[in-house]
Amino acid sequence: MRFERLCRWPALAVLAVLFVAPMGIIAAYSLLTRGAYGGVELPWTLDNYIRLCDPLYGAILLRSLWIAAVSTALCLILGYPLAFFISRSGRRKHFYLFLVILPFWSSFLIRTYAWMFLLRDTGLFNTVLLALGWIREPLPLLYNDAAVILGLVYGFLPFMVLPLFATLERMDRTLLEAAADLGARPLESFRRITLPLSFPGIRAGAILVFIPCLGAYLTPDLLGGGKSVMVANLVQTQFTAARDWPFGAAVSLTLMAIVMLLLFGAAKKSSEDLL
Amino acid sequence: MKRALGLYAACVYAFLHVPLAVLAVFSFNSSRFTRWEGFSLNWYRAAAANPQLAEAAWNSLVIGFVSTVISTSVGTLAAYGLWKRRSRFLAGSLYLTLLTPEIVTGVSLLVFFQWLFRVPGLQLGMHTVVAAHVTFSIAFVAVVVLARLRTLDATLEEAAMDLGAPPWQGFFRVTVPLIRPAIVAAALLAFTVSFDDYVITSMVAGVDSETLPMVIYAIARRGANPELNAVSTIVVTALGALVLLSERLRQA
Amino acid sequence: MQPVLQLAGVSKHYPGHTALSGVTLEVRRGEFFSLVGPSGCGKTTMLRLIAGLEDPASGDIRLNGRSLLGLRPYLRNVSTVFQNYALFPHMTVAENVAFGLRYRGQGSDAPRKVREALELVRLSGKESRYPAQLSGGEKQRVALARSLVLNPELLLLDEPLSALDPALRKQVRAELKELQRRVGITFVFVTHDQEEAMSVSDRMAVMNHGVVEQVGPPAELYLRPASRFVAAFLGAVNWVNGAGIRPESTRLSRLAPDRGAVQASVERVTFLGDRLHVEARLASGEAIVAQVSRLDGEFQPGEAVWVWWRKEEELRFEA
Repeated sequence: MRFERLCRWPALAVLAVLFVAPMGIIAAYSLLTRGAYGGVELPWTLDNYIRLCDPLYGAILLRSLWIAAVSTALCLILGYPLAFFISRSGRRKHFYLFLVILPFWSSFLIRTYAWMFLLRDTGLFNTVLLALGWIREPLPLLYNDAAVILGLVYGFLPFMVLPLFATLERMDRTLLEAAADLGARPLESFRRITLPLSFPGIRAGAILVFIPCLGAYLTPDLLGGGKSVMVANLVQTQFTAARDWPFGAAVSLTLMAIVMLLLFGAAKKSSEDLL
Repeated sequence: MKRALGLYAACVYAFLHVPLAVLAVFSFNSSRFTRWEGFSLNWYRAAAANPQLAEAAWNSLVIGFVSTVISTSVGTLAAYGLWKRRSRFLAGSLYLTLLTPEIVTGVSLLVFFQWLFRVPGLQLGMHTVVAAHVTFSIAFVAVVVLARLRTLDATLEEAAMDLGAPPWQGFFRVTVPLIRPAIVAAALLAFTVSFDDYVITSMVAGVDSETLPMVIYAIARRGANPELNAVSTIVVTALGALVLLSERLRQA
Repeated sequence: MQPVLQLAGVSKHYPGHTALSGVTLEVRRGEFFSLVGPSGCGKTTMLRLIAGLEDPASGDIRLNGRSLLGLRPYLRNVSTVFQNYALFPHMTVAENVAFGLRYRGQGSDAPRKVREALELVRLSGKESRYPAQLSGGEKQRVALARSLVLNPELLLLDEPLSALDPALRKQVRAELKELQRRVGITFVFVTHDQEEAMSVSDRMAVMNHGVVEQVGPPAELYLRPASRFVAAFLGAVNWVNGAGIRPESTRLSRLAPDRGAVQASVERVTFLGDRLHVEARLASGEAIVAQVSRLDGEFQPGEAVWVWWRKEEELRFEA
């Protein structure tokens, strides 16, 4: 028994020192004041959190929530039919799944850059459209909210497809056969049986997409330029250019708090499902 | 209906794969403009000759290797511990590291290291990057290994104990050989995650520990650069191959 | 002679139910001892407690006089043959059998001991096969060899025959009995099949809901059961007026015999080859089954018969 108990201590030690402790320090810093040369100093204060209520920062937070929500919704709309397709594809399942997983693992940064390459003023889309004579000037496809949403959907679609697939695959097909036997048309069966039964998968996928979208840094940075500032960008600025660590810490903690609230709510809901 | 669904799936797959394919195609373009002017390996040669890229790539490989070795060992043990006795605390903490926004992890580690290094006078460098990578990789490893452990027959370790083997012997002689493919798959995944990381790495890297993603980011930020297309294609192909291998091992 | 195994007041609880309750019994040196009972009676739990895979809530377990309490499984000189054999799939037969030898300082002698063990279970020549390439019966023999090679003081077998084809079971159980006699190691054998237990055991314990109902040689348990449960578990019983009488002791005849007999009417006759099962209803209302040799004549449904039995063969209980 002792070996079994000891096994988890390396991981716990790493997490304690490199995850929990740093979080604690961030929490402490969020309550301190900005130092003259960067860093922090006393006195303790709640100013940083109060500053968050400023409409300027509130706007950033709201934009982040909105972009994350839209991205999640799009992922759901785009991803559900794909997950459905894969769950019905018989022996090719693993192959189709792999085709979804593969892009996700092969460098998020480069994939984001790929969209820069496509959407720039001198990028592929504009070059082609100009060459075809459909437009006279390059379209500003990059550096706006839409580009960020596009990048996020592109990046996190697999996170929606996988849990959806898992739920759909596990579903008992004979239920649909029974429904057909009782007179329901395919669309009806889908609406009244398949869809409701896939809610747990939808919930899981939504959480797995919304949270990374909310805290996204690279996508709004590269695809949004300075025009589409999200929470993560705000935090990063505080720790580099603006040198306001306490404020950055406060924003980080707020983001973390929202994430944990969402996770807690999701956990509660899924355990309610089981009861 | 099935036809329409298949067509739709094809479109989504195109959406997922075309952007990278375009990058790959244009990496062989002899011109630096977005107009095909002929096949050429120019940009690959230029990228290979770029000292900054070469050094950054080397750093990424070293950091990736070291952090993978550590995180795979720690993560495998953690998964084994979780398999034997459920620990909501450990499982929860691991999942939390997976879902915490990278900026928050990065910023907190930066602040932690700065605070820690006041006394010994240490600096940010390769070691801090390795530490950071280990932190978020453990959860990936644990998830993959735990999934495989759950398919294992629990009576095998009981039999080993019954025959005289103390628990750690049972682990190394019976369990580990049986989950070896999963451990390797997890290691490949951990390497991929470490190699590609930008956000956390950029916050805790020192002056002399630039990684490949950091260089790629800097170039991308400045605008288009055909060398970047070449580097991107190489990286994506290499990581893709690792992921393919990892998937095969997991199915084994 | 000191018993090999002694259990004293052993209890084991799980949340929701009690697996074992105050179990006290002895297993003698060199005997083939069986634990029998229906599913859930606690026999597998008992085996696991002896092996050390779980700890009792109370009571003592002694092996050759030494208490095993608190001793980890790998320190006990007890070996288990698991129900699913638990052969290590990534090791050859030879490696499986040799597995435990190094913990007894016999690693260097392994090849010879492995060969001897495989000869004992008649599986020579299969040293380099993998478990996946073996049949069920062969896997079982490897599991046996793996345990026997360690020369344990006690060998525990958890339903070793239940995974085999019915046709194979009778043959294998005879081989097991023969093996035990040759090797001389004390066997503790768990099964839910009472016929199996009676055919191989020197002594057996019948268990019910965590309690040992009776311990003794098969014949004693069958002919002089201590409780209704033991009587009914080991064979069919007709219950008449609070007494039990076995079908093979229930005699039928068309003519009224001298001794006290009861009138009955035949309801159904089942032909079983060498014998007949005759189901009849007594005048007093009870339904009985009589086992009649085919050679003693045929009975027809509807017939009126006399039913009688020898008083000595009645099974009576206090409760």
